[in-house]
Amino acid sequence: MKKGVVLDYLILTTASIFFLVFLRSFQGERFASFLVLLMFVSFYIIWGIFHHMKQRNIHIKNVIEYILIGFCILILLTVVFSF
Amino acid sequence: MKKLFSYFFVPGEKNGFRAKALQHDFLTYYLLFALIVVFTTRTFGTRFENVLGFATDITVEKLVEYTNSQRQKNGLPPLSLNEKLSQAARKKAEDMFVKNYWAHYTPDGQAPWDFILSSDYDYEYAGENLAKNFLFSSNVVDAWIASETHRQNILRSEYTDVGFAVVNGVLNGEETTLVVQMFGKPQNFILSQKEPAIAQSKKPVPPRSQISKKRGVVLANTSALKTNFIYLFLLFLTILVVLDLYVATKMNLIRIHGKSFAHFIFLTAIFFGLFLFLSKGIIL
Repeated sequence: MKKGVVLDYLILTTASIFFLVFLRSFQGERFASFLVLLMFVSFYIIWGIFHHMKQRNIHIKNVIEYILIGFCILILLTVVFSF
Repeated sequence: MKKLFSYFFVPGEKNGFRAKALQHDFLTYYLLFALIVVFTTRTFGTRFENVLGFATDITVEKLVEYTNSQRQKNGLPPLSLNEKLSQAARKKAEDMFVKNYWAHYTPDGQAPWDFILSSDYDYEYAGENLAKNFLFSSNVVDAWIASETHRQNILRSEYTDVGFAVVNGVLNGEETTLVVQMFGKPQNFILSQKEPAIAQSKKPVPPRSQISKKRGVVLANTSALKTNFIYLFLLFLTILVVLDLYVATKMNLIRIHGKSFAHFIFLTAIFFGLFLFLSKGIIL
């Protein structure tokens, strides 16, 4: 795996850890938790776009895939993260 | 059958080296399905509120069982479920929804024991624990036990009775399940009235001054059924992504698709995040 790719995954993993840390600090606060989730999903989509741009294989199919997965999870989780 | 399974779940020649269940059309179906789930949840939640209200996994029976189990672990006699205390707890929960506050004392200064006395329970000792935003009965009792003041309430040897109310509604604009636990010992021969015990949270939430007229029992969105479904869906997507990653690595595939490893990291974080979110509510 290339150095740049490893760095990208490291950034995504770090963001995931931050997501869990923030979620834990806002435990019980549904609106704040939902905002944290929203930010993480947005980050994941942006990360996907930037990662593929860096890899020079950006394509509308990639972008749509990240958006579909991100939004699907976000919408499903609004059922439990109701505020 | 095997071919169909491979077509839908394993990357290969026939599905363009990407599992059909991970392709755009299927991802769009999942998204539409998610929208339908949200829409029906909200519609059914308000139309069949009393029926679906039972879908929450917090029950009075389990709360009594876990509370008494904690007492027995500490060598204390079990508490009896008292209907008058349960009535007082229900009144308190409903009052919190009607006046839109989250506190031991009402905005107009009523104390928890005012609800107890108004339910014809003449107490010698009384106490109250509150909880909201929990999904399971065990988590509620565990959270109380983890807090020193709430733990003292549960393990107070003077108490003989307990009452519970589990009420769903809208508090501060948020759909929630309130759990009110009221303890008591009836007044017998001792005439002196002892100060009731109220568990204090480290971070008390101040009561809201604005009074909302919005009330009523609605479906708590954190029902076990819906949560299990979401967990299953997350598991399904994760397995698909892992399978895709494994086959793509093995076959050394170069494709124009999102990175399965990135999806895996994202879905794993969401999985643990959901677990974190549901494992704890707020106690007072």
